[in-house]
Amino acid sequence: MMTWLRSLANFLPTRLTTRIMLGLILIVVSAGIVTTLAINQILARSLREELSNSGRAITTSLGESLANALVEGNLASIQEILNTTINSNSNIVYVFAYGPKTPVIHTFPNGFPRDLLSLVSASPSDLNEYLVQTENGMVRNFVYRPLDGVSAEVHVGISENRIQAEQWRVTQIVLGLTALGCALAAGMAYGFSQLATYPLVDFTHRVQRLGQGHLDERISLSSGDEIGQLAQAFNTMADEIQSAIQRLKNSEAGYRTLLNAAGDVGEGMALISDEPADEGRLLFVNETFARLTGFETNDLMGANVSSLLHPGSIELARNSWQTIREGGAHSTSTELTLTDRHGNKHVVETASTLIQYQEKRALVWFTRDITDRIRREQELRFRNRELTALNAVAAALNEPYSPDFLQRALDEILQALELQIGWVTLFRPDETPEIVASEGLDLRTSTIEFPNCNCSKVLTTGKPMLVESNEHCILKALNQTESMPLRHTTIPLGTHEKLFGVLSVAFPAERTVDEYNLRLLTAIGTQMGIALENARLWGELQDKERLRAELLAKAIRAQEDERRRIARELHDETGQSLNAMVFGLKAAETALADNPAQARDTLARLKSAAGDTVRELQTIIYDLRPSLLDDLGLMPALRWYAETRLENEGARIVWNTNSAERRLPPEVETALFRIGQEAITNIAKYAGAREVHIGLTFEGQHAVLEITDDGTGFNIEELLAHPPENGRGLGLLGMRERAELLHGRFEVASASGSGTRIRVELPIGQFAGDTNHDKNSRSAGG
Amino acid sequence: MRLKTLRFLLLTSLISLVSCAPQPDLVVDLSDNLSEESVWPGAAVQTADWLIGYDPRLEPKDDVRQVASLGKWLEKRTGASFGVFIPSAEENIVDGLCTGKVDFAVVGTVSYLQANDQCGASILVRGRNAEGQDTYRAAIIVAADSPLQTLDDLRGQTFAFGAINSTQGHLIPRLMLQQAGLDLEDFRTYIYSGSHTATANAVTSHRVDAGALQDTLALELAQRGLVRILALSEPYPSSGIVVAPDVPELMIESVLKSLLQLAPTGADAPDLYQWWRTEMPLGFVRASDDEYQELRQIAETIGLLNH
Repeated sequence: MMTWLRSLANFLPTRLTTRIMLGLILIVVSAGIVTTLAINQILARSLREELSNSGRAITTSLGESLANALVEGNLASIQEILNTTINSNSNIVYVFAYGPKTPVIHTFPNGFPRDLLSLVSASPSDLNEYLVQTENGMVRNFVYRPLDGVSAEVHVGISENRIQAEQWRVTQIVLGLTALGCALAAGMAYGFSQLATYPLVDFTHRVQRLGQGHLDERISLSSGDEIGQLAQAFNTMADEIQSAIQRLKNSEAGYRTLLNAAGDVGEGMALISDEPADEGRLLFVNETFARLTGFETNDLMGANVSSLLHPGSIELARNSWQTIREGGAHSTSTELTLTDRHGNKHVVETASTLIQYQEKRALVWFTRDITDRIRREQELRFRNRELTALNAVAAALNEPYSPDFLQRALDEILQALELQIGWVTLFRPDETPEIVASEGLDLRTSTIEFPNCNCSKVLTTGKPMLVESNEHCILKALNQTESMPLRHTTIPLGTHEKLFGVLSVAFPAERTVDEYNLRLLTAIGTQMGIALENARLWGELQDKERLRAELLAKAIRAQEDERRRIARELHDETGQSLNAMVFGLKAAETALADNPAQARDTLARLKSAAGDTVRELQTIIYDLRPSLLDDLGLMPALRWYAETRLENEGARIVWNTNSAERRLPPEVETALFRIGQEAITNIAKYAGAREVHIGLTFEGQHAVLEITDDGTGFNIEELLAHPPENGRGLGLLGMRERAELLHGRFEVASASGSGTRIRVELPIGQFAGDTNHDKNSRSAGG
Repeated sequence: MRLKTLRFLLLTSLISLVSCAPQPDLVVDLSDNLSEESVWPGAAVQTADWLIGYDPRLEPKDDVRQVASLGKWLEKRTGASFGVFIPSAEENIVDGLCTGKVDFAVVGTVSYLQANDQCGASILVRGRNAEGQDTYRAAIIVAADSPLQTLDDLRGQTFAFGAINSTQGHLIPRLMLQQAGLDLEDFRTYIYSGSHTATANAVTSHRVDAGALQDTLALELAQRGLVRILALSEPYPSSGIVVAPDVPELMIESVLKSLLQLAPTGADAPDLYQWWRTEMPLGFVRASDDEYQELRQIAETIGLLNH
């Protein structure tokens, strides 16, 4: 509703006086129209009624006058009366009549209208009327039958034009009155509104003066009506405005001080016009801002701010300012890049706000040069990432070896250097290269072309290198698809002793690869090399541990087997023999009284059996530890054992010793005997040797046992990696273990078809004391 | 022209605004005219079974209206339809009765005598006058200030009769004049005024010195001092209703029975038109031909029955 009224108000004149006049005129005109309509209706009805009445009277009267003539068929008389009638009344359009002895007699000069025939003899009553529309207007046709029962009718047509003429006349009068009323209303409205709006006009004048800046303008109007209240409100408002402007002035002064102060603490400030005509023009800059751009302040005044912005920042700045225009009070901090007079880029942190400056829209643009900070932050970020990468690699060092450690390390390196492509190549045991970690490469299409690639030189120099050409390199395929040319840096992975592989990272051709990058990569390469070496050593240690555990298990098992064997032998042989002796002794005891001769035989048999039993026991004991070693020493024991085992196999034994037989500490003797025993057993079991050289020599403080055969030999690595079930590999490990337990060294050399040589070197000097001490303690204990 | 159009538009719009303008019953083109031949709508609608004729007596319209009202009354009573035969100079009522065009007729004695003479029409009823008599008389009048005192004074004077076939205006006065020894040659001039009213007018306006008038009108005029009555006749059988010779007996019976029951001052008064002005204001009595002998003779004498 209100909206409708408001839109209506747009079409109204602005002046109040005109509006009031218009309103009153509208009212008068409306009243005039309504009155015209009402009067027209009333008039028309009454005129029609009157017409009807007079028409009926005229027709009846005419009918009476004509009745006699109609009866008599007096045509002339009828015609005369009809003519008289029509001439006597200008409203009568036509008259016609007929009787039983007359045709239709009428007043139409050109003959009787055909259409009117339908009214003849049509009326249901003796006096009636019809409304007939003719080309000359509406006509009311009255019909009267003067002679009841005889066919005779009189018709009179009376025009209704008079009614319409009357209506029009009245309409004219009313419209004239309405116009007069309008003029009066307009005049009165004008007078009244002048009276009413005079204070308002004065009021308007004063408000306009206030608007022009005459802030001390006040209205002295003491009347208590609405205008008086309005005047009072105006005065209050003027007071408020005056006070507000004073506050604003104070605030502006403070504001200017603030801007200067901002410059003093390093805040650059610029005022940028935001008027459509000169958008972007600098209206004011402070010293700090000018210093930042390298220009003088005067040079910058009037320049367009876009000439200072780096092309990449113009859109960002525009968006930021657009946000402010669209209602943000001030922009959030935005980082933009400026290009100074010398073409140097400055990253500035900016904030803006929209103000009115010299009655124009302007942007206050605060800038702070944060180029150094950004650079420091970037460096810090790089260092951080590098440290993270190093840390990640270092962390991998401390972890048990896992296959993805290289991939993780590579990822960290690429992230630290902000690169996308890198790969790690390791050499398999057979020296063929294999990519074990990669990023940004499609391994399905990438193949390594070591050693054709230029980067393979790193294998010989052991130093990091930058490869400019990708010829013969894994990047070759990539360069064909990448829009940007690439080069790569390759770093050796390994220790000074062993090279495990290389680490390569690809750089965009335009990027500088500085010393720092290379140093970082080298450090990482070294770290990764150490990690790889550790992984390798760890692997070896794992293998050893596994073999040691197996050896221990075997020793325990062998010990148990030995015990079982002794028990069985004791039970089966010695035990049986002793039981038999017990029975024999009982029998001898029984026979001693009855048959002493038999008793003697029995005892003699028992004595022989006892001797056998003692020998069995000796054999068992000898197997456990040859008494020769304890009794005679190492060399005789070995000689005994070798001759026992090898000569049965048809092998010739060649002895070699460089000194007289001497006793060694029991641990050394036992270790050497057992190692020799194992070696001899192996030769007897597997070698098929024809000649075996056994040598025991003394070199300084070391005893060296060396056994060489010309048998079939074997592959040591394979045997150690996959020891067969028969425990042959374990035997070798056992020998090494015994030697190492005594801080000695064990070496074995063999190849298929070229025999086997073992060499054990044990220190003897340091155990002399220990041996004595051991003996003493043992005797003390014994 | 523009003003007229504007006016028309304004009025039309105003009228249509309140939409009270009456719709025409008929649209007529006044310029679409019939050619010169006359249209006779009145002659075409004569559809009644029986026609009643009359002797012109008062003004033509009053005669027609009275006869028509009687016809309508008879329609109600008999169920047959009755129309009005209007006599004219070319075809008077006697002709109508005798040519078979008219079936019944309200006529005076002269017409009855002529029709009876010509074709044997017979009289059914005779009217009763205001005094209840079934006879009437004629009067010889002069102007109120006339020096004439007796019938004999009329010699050499001018005289007005009514209609030539009028019983009271001509037949009976001729009888009175004959009995007083006067003949038509005794008058200086004489005229047939055509009706009683005309005769009265002629007398009162001194256009004639004396005139013959029906008794009721003469007495009334004399009472108002407009005329003076020189002589009154003997009473003679008054006017009545005759029937043409070819009307069926049954119809005659039906009409006769109804007429005898007519009560013009009673129940039937509303149906009848100014019946008190007729010569039968109180209804009818049965009439017979032999009551007209005397008048038939004088009629024959004065040549009314001559063909």
